[in-house]
Amino acid sequence: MKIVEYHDKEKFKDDFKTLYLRYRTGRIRHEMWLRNRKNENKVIDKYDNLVLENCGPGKITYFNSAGYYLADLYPNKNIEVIENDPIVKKFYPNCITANRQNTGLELTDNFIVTNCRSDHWHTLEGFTEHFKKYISYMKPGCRFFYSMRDTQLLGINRFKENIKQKILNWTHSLTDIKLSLVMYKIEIPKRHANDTRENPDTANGNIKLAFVYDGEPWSVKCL
Amino acid sequence: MISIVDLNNLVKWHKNYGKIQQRYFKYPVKIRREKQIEDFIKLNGFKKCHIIKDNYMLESIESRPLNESDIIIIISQHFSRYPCEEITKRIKKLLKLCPSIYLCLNRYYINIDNSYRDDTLSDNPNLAITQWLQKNLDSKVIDMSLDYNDDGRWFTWAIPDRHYFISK
Repeated sequence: MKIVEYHDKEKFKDDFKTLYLRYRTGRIRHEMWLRNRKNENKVIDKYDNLVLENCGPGKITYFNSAGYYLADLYPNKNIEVIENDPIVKKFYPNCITANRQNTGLELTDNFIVTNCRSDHWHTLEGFTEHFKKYISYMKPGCRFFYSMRDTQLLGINRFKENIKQKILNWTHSLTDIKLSLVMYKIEIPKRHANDTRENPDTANGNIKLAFVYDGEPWSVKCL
Repeated sequence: MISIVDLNNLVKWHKNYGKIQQRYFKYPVKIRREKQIEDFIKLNGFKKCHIIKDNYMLESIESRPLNESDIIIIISQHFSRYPCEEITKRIKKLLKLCPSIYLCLNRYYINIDNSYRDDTLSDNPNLAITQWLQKNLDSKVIDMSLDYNDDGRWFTWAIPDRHYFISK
């Protein structure tokens, strides 16, 4: 038996079962698609519903966010599903396989990334680099919804920094790449002595942000 | 009909995640941190361990009742999610019952509610956790962890990454 310090793709099996399992465990929102496939009564997560209610007219692009579950729910909406893991195309053939940098897809009116595991484990500056690529998908005026978890964010000293303020300061710096903050919800609740729960919303992330790219803010709908 | 729901009841992978990740490998593997704890117990002559855990790790070590133990091993992720004052309070309480603790903390959870503040601690978040423990416990605290920049691949949700030996 070999001793391992960390997991390493080079040493992984590459059969469908393993590739799917890796995708499945990394994308807990995939469970919504599995549930809806098996049930007459379809469900949508309340955050996804909030995002869809705040989308502008035109194309809605979900990137690495199990957006296929929403595309199935709303066939009349113009929902485009992009995933960077090629395994998704095996069970959802309408998915487009692409990376953060747009290399030729038509620009979109709404761009959504929800708790994307492959974005995690970066500093806020690293997220800026992700966003510089994401804007290559956006038309001017595009609404950009992004959510993540504070406990998978690098470069924060939790003893010395106010996390909420640090994130807000960072979001305001994104005007340099033409992203203006329109709404946010950052949940890091003060807890009582015996509370050992995760910070809220492990499915979608406790840091929820919405921006407009190179355009004017919209009148936000709060549900 | 489409119902709006709260996704909070989705599958929580934590209890099995390490085991699942181990299955990805082409050959059988053991997580180094698990072996570190097992060897620490064996090589330092501890015979009666009480284990506080929330997953399948450390199955090779029998967990004995707390009042019979000569060391307490804590690998539960929940423990790292207590507020800071509660973590040190609980360690002090456990040390009254047992002379030694092997404590594993998840660096991403410490001060989870961001309510504890100490500007005198190091700017290095790993070292800051050690200094916080040393400052708030009247005990010997030895840091046995690696200081490394994480990238999410280090099995931290199977066994937390910061390892401390704490003794009276």
